[in-house]
Amino acid sequence: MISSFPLKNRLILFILMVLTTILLGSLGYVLIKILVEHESVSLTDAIYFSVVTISTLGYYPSGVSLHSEIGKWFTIFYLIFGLGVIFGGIQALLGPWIELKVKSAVQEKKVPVPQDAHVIIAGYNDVADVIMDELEFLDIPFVVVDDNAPADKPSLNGKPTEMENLIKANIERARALVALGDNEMNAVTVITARKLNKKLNIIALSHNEGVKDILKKCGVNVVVSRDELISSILSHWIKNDFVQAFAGEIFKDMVLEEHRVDKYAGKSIMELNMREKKGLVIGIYRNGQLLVNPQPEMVLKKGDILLIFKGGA
Amino acid sequence: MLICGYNSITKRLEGKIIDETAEGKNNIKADPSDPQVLIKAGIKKEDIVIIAMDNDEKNIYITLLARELNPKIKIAVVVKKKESVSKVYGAGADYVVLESELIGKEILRYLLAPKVASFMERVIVSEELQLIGMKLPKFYVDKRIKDTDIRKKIGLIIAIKRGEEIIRNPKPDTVLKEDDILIFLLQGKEINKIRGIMGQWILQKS
Repeated sequence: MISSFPLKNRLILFILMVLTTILLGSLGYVLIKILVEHESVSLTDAIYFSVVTISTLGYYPSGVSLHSEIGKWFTIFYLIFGLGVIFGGIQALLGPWIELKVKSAVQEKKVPVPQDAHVIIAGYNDVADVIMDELEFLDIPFVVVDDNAPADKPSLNGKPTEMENLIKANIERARALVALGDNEMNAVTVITARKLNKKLNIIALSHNEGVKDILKKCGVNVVVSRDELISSILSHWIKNDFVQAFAGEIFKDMVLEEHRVDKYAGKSIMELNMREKKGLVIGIYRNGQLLVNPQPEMVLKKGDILLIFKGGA
Repeated sequence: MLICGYNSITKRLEGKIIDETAEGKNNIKADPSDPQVLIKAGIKKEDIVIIAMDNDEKNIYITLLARELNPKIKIAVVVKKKESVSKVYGAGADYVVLESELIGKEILRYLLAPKVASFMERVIVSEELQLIGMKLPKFYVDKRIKDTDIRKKIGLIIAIKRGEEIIRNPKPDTVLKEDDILIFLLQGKEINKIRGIMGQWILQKS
């Protein structure tokens, strides 16, 4: 039997073979009883004989067993044949069944791909680990697409550059995609992703400056440049300026939040008593422009996004 | 300033680069994990060294060497592996940047709070916005913030540095004291305007 034959099919085949064997045995029994031994025969006796023989039970009540020479030989060969069918069949069933049991015990249950409003992480590495930890903490669904995706996280094994894999990751319904591979992989991933979902928020990591524009052309919304980021953090440290000295302490724990103005439109920051209620409004995004240090009298408009500084004294 | 490791990050910084693959006039083409090379490069007289080699073992080793050769030097190290962070601090570094964490946090910000992220980008990367420290002018001493014209004239006080303590987000009725340093967040063009009015009080750090 072919080892890749599914277990279910094997079971059906086994049952069919046992039935056929019983049928053949019964037929032989009937023929011998009538033609050789010239006795009357019942269907029940015929099936009873077959089952008792192939099950190696071997006990026949008087009148059931075959007592002629030919009958005895038939019983012998039928017994051997039946044994072959039963034991061969059981072995062919048991092997794959045990294999399946062991596999399911060892392999952890695959976490399913989220359906909706999830984040697709294209590429698995240290950065992906940082992102996954935080998303997990915030209960935001995500899926990792990579050749070596971790088995204990929602993941898909395969290259994120291939359309098929992104479709499997439900890209049509995803909220964002972060491309964390090398420059080439990210560019191709982004082109593929953009084709599949026009509205997707795509964030890509670029490993050096020149790639930034290429990624933008591929359809990335935000490019995070590794070199730029690390070198600017270092130069703030070198200058020992206020960003370095204070940014750490001031901006620690993400105390900066954004709030969209909807119901507050038409009122001023002072009127709303934002400071007591939410925190210090340090900036307002209006029509894509950032206004820093808004005056308390400033009237909010619909669509404004407030940057609010939380915590502190 | 000395820089160990020649790569796309260190090329953006201004300093003398030491690496076997280094190019350029000011740079030194030699292995920085050799103490003789570091001494020749003048590590004993430098006050800052940035270490950003391609592997963390080298980073840790060079940190040890640098600290040994110059106990006063300030050392910043860029590492790749999480477990290296504590090792590098243990080896004597003053500041450690874990690449994956920095990048991951930045991407998360764009993912979760895009406006905050682009705001932070302006402060940290493009420096379009700056955090400016200002010594408290005499005539504001012992006044409450809301009784002064600071907000009108300069902007929001986002923090006050009082001695070693930092008061974040001070309340309007906070009383200002002598020697307080007020911290503002200002846009490039405003800074010049304010320099005109309050120039003598602004702290120049460079």
